[in-house]
Amino acid sequence: MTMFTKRIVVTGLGAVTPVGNDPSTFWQALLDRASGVQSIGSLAARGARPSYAAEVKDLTPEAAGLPRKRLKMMGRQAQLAYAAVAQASADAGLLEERAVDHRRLGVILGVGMLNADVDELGRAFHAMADGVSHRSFDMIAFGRLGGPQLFPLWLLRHIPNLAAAHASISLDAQGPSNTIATGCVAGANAIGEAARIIARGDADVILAGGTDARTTALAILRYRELGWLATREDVPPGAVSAPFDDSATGFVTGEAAGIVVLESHEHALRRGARIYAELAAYGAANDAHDVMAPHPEGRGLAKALSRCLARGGLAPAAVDALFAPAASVPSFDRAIASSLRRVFGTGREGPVITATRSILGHTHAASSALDSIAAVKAIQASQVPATLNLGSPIADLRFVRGTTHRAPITTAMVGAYGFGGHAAALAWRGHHA
Amino acid sequence: MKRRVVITGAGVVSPVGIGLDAFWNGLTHGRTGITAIGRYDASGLPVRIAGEVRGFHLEDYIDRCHRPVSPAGCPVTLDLRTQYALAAAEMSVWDARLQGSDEWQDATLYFGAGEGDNDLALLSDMLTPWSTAQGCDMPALLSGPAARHFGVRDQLMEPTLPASLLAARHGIQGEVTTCLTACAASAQAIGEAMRRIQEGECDLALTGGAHAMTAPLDVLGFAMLSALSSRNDAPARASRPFDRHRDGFVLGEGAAVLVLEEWSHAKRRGAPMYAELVGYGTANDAYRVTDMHPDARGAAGAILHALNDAEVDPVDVGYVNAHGTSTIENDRAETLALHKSLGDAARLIPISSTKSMTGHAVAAAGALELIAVTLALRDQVLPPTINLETPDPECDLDYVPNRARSHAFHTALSNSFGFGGQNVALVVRSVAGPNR
Repeated sequence: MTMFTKRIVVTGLGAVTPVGNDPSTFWQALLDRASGVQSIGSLAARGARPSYAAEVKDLTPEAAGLPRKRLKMMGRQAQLAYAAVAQASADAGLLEERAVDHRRLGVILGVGMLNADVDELGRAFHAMADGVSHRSFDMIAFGRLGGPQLFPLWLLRHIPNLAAAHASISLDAQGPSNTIATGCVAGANAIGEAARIIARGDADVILAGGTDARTTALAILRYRELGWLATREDVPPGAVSAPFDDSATGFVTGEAAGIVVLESHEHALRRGARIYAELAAYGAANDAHDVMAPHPEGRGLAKALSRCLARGGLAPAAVDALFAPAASVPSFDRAIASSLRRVFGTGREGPVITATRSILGHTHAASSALDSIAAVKAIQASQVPATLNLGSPIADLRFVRGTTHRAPITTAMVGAYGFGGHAAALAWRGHHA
Repeated sequence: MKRRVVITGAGVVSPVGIGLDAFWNGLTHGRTGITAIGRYDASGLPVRIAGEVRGFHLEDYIDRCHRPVSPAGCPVTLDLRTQYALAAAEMSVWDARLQGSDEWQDATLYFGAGEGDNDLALLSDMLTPWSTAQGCDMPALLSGPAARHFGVRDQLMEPTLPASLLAARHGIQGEVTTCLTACAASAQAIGEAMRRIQEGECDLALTGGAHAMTAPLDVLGFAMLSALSSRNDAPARASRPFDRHRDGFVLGEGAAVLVLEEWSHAKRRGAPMYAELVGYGTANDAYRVTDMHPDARGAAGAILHALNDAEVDPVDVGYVNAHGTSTIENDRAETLALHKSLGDAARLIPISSTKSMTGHAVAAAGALELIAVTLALRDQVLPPTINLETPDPECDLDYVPNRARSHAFHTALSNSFGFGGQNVALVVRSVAGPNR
């Protein structure tokens, strides 16, 4: 049984990440194990914890092709997505005239939660506090005095589906459009959703992937209070994110956007597009266990991986490499390791396993889209990047450590797993006519 | 041949009533759920009206033992959106006689939602000490502790929270997805859930949506975009879709959850069937982030796709539940879209907007309205568009003004359009054979 009723291929890539703002720079940094986690001067100077994050650097509107007139309406996550969509669509040759029927061109993004902007709200609270004698929150004063301090169009930066809307407008994409939020799994779900829609014949080409910018003050406070964020200062920032390592203390929050151009094989052939790889199968599942913690054995992830294998007609031993969703949060890392043991065994048969979040930090909804780009690159280059900071593994699995794994990669899987028990898996395969 | 999909359960929490009977009774009697905002003191806001759910207690629907706890083990307070979702799902699953069934294990859950509301008092306590006229001192903020319970409170605002709680509650280990396509989200969720069943992914799906954008920042944000009606002195008359003197939409809230089931699966277990879901279409305007395309190209496209999918001719459409927000622009563009997609038949088909009574429940709106359509089919009664007093020459169709109408029909269309150029249309049909 094959997963899709049509063959689905990748014909373009776009990436804006903490280690580089295009897919090639991103891939080279993974091979070089060059961490994107860096100290943030303003935070370090004031004793803020954590004092580091995995931010996107040097994303100027000019270089990223961001429209200055619309920038004020775009939140950070929409800006990152816009830049990655522009790269991917150019890479796939979609901008050439008559490359595609615009009514059959779609955009499907996985996104993260958009916390309030503390500068925006801070101005409003400050104005409110100036107008009242007491210290507690005053709804009437907030409305009268705080409201006018807000930028009139601020809501547009906080409507989650507008990242995809800005992208659709820029590409004149009048076909299917969706915005998916499934915590840190959203990028993988968006790619799976897009493949399904192409397979059922409702679109020819869909730009799919994830975007997230949870490096905001409120996101940091949230994850720090929940105990999921690393705050250690005893090692350099680049050594903090340690997925599958005994020393892991939490994730390093990051921001990124990753986009793949998915297309039906027949459409790609017809327009003579360059084909990077094929999406062989997709599977999704849920722990149905606890919304605040993973199932101890990673039940949802095991199910998603097994479903993906079954639908792709793949034996576990046929998978050459696995990009694992471990983000350096001990409970999640252990649950993921447990599910991988269950699905692939511990022998030498299964895939080599790597965790790019050791280098990229945790880019949340973008993470599995970036892993998909890495998987496509791994297939093309016959190389799998090593996991950084993995000195004492918590499990006996075939982790890629120390140096790049060099071997032909026919099939690479991406696993995604996170808050809410969400799980998904994608199987990427080298393209053969 | 396509596998057939039927609706076998429904549950609703809305400003016009909680539960199917109260909801339907309210709609068919033209009762509005829109009043002055009562949940907080809105007197400092430019808009002070909304459709709020009243008399709701989560304990009436779900035991405490099924509610989540924080990592520290303390019970948590769920935001309204999530509470409504839990209650509507509970009603829906009972209605389908599938409470506690182990068949949920392989089901799909596809939900339309948005984020939970911000706790302004909590944020104010935390941010005000570090705030100036320029903004907030982020390094200083991050050098101290967060407000008590902020972490859990903020995590529970996640858009995916209602769906992941429903998965845990009903044991759904299949695909669990939340889509955030604004005012079209729950209609899109229903369409995608229907596809999962048609394509053989599952036999059973839980779907719908929940949203509560009636909190201060939501009202302020939409008011600043000039999208809301400012009839603060006449809340009951503020939502007036297709009326010449309409001046914007009114925010509402609620949840609507449906059980979808493959036809033979439902038949085998003798499940009551409300209606068959036969068509789903989407298209994007790709025009502007807030304005609809002036030619309504996306809206018309979505309707045509849905009719084609259902293999239904325009003349066979017996009722349209409009998106009908009561903004100048939507109601004009939607009328144009209906003319373009239905042709001459448009003038013969009754069309109504239940948002005239519920207000606009944003991500929950599409599912609320699909349930209204389902009940209209069951009872052969059309809910009215209330407050339609002065016709607008640009809105020249039959909008079932002010009074419910008995009407013999078997096929209906439900429209949902949203910010971001999102357009979704669904088509439902009576199930052949004896009615429920």
